[in-house]
Order: sequence, then C-alpha cells, then structure tokens
Amino acid sequence: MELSQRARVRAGDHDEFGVLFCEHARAVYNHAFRLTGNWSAAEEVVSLTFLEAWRLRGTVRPDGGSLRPWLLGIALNVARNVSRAARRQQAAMNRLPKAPDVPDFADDLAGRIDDAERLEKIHAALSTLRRTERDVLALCVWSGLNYAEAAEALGVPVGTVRSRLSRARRKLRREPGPASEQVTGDRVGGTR
Amino acid sequence: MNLDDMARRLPAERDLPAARKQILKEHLMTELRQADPTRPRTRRPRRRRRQGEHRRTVLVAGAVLTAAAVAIATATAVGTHASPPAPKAAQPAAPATAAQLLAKIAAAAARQPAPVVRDSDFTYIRSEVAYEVDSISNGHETSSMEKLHERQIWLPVANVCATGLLIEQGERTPISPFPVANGKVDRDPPKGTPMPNFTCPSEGHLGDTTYRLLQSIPTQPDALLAYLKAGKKWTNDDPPTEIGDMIRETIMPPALAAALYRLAATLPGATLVPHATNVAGRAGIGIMWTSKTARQVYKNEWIFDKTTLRFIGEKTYDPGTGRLTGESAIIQQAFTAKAGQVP
Repeated sequence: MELSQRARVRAGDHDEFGVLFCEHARAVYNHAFRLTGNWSAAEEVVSLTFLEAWRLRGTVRPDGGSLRPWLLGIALNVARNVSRAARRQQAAMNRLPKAPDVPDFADDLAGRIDDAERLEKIHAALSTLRRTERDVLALCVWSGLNYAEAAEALGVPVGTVRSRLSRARRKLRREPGPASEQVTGDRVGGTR
Repeated sequence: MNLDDMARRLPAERDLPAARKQILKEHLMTELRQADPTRPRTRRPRRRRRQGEHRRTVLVAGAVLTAAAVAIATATAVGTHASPPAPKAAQPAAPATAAQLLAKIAAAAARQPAPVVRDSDFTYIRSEVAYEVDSISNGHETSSMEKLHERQIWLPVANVCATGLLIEQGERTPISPFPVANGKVDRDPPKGTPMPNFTCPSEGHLGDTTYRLLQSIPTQPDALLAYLKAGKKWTNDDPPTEIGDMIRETIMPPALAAALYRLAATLPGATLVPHATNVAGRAGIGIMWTSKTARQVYKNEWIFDKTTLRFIGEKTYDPGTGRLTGESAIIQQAFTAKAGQVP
C-alpha cells in the first residue's frame, strides 16, 4: 500500500518535503506576508517554516487531509518570532543565498509597496484583538482555512477556534474601519 | 468594519518570484540532506540545479566529471575519427601563463572538424570518476572518497525530453527531465511532483544542454559572456564555473569550445599547472581556477592532454584545506544511434 503524504512526511522523506514545498510555498508566502506586512520578510518566513516543518515532522498527525493547515500554523509561530526561529536555524539560514540586490519583482515594486501599506492599515485595525484572536482570523479569514483546519494548525479544539473568531468579529464590529477612503477601490494588480 | 470587508481589502496574492522560489527550495533540500543522519550524500561537485532538472539531479548524484570539448575523439556513429591536431614540426615555447595555455587550447579546439550528428543520436561519454561522499552517523560526519569507478552516460543530441541513460556502479538510471521513479520515467506523476517548466521537444538550456543547443550558443566573445551571465541569474555561478560545467561530460562543438576557452583566457582566477595528471594516470597540463569570493568558493582544475590539448579530466579541491574532493578522467566520447549502445 502506498504511504500517505503525511506518513512520508513523518518518515522524513526528502522528496516529499520537496513536493510539500512546491504545493504550499505560495500559500505560506502570502500567509507570511499578511502576518508580517513585508514581502522580503515573507520569503524568510517561507524558508524558516519549511525548515521548522522538517524539525517538527514528528508532530504531524497520521490521519487527515492536506498539510497546509499544519504549515500555516508553523508559519504563524515563525512570523511571530522570526528572530527566534532564525536563531534556531541559524546555520541553515547562513547558507541561504541572499536575495539579489535588485529584487526579481523590481518591475512590480510599486505594487508591493502598496500591498504593504494596505496591510499596515489592516493591522492597525486589529490592534484591539488578542494575539490568539488575530491568529484565528489570519487562518480562517485571510488564508481560508475552515474551523477544523484552523484547529489543527493551532493545536486547539474546534470550539475554541469558533469562539475566538466570533469574539474577533464582535470586537471589530465596534471598531471604526481603517481610513477607508484610502484602501477601498480595486485591488492593485488584480488577482494573480 | 466586518471581516468580509477586511478580506476584500487584503492585497491580492502573489507568487514567489520564480528564481527565488527555486533557490529557497534548493536550499531546503540541501539542508535536509545535511540534517538527515541516514543518507550519505555526495558533497562534490555542488553545482547548479535548475527547475525540473531531474537530469541535473542525476548528474549531480552521480557526481560526474567528464568530457569536454575539443575532440570528438571517437565519433563512431558517423565514422569521422577526428585526428589530433598535427604536432607542429617546431613546437613553440611552452605556455608561460594560464591565458597563453587557454589561447593554445582554443586554437587546437578550433582546428577540430565539426562532426556530422543526427538529431536522433546520443552523446556518449565514458569516464572514470571518484568523488568525496559524506555520511553522518551518530552525529559525526565523515568524508571519504568513492572508489574510482566507470561511468557511462548517453544524452540526447537534440531533445532533452528524450530519455537518456546513465550506467554507474552497476546501476542503470534513465536520464530525463521528467520524474524518475523505480528506474522508470514517469510522465504523468502525482500532482505536485516537480515537472519540467518547458515544453517538449526542447534543446534544453544552460545547465541541461544538448549538442544542438551548444551549436546555437553565440561564439562572439561579448555575446558569449552575456549568455553566461544571463545564466548566472539562475545559478549564481560565475563564468569560469559556468564554463567548467559546460565542458564537463559533453561533446562540445569545435567553434563553441574555441570560443569558451578564448573567453576563459580573459577571466581572472586562472593559474597554469605545468604538470597535471588525470585520475587515469594520463599526464597533462592544467588550468587551476580558484575563487574565494562570498558567493563562489571553489578550487577546480581542468586537465588537458599535453600534446593534443584536449580536455581529459578534472579535479576538484576543498578550497579551505586543499583536500582533493573529486576527480575524473575522460576515457571515450562519441555519438551513438541509441542510448545504451556502446560505440
């Protein structure tokens, strides 16, 4: 019988981690950007997330679906404390070739700066939330996980996810929106 | 503000820049190999791998070194035995510098006749190789040289999507840009498996070349240097490394071989090694390349036959300690009609 992806990841199958990277690097990258508000930092979080995933491969539950929730959960912790994760993976990160001086996306630099400004406003609007509430929001609302997936990502019961999210929802309803005239309108760059 | 509102205000998702994604993935895979206590790995030669490069992976895993250039010594498929350049009656003085030697090597390459090659042919290279292999057990890393062994490879002449063959240490491995599992090429692998990012048929690209691609590379010095630097965007390799990668385990069209060596003569970092011997014991003359810049750290020696000035092998060293980390000798190269067919 062929092993599941989870089994292969647990077994430390290198090739499976390559597959995992191909499948989920984009999701982790965008998740990381929404957490950090910085596309360059997001790259670093991607790298650290998969290194941490390797370290933590034994914690993958044998049953379940996609490993995306697990990776996004790791990315939450990495993004929250990049310097700690980077210290743990310091030797590995020292071997990571530096990003080019001229970023690959130079042609799109303006769009990316605009992205960062939008994020900053959204983050400001979340300042009244607890960390745990922001995490649930990032997973469920921003990255589209369902309650069960977010529960797996965070290692908490499904009910906890549900209650944190509804609390976040209530709190935000009382907040004035971010300076809305500046962030409404079409999303720059459209959907890619 | 409600949550749906907020979701709509999020910036659109973006892709990781493709080149960066490739670098991050390669870094991850390298780190896993280093972290894994069970798998031996070949330390050298560490060279570029580009997207979809299963072939490249195989080459790396097999830790090659080989052929180059000059001479299609045994173009048996077409029966054109290229004769070595006729020794001059009065040999000019021995080259005193690496640049002088490279100029002579380029001139010798330019004198070679261009072979007649069919698109359906395969480039065949037989070499003797040994590389340093690392293994980690109980947290201790040990390095040892492989035993010198034979390596035979057949690579398609015109289309990298055609399946080639590697025979090394008793194993027969298909060479393909498509995933290879259990000794077979899988053109319809499970979702998520890395696949070539080009369409077939393809003459390949720098890093996974075919004879036809090599024939199409510009030979004007400026254009050639620009071509190699464009490759650097993907590999971070500097031109001497790119050239070293190109001449290895390849039959090189004479015009390009000459152009590469002429270009190499203008690059910094080369020193002349008056007496160099390949691992098969053949005496030659060498060009040592050293670089210790932040990105590029290497010490590699190209070895050429003293008389014919053909590339006959290579040695790689640890630039820190000077320890030998790999060596090869080219024994035979030819074009064959089929993969697996010995000339």
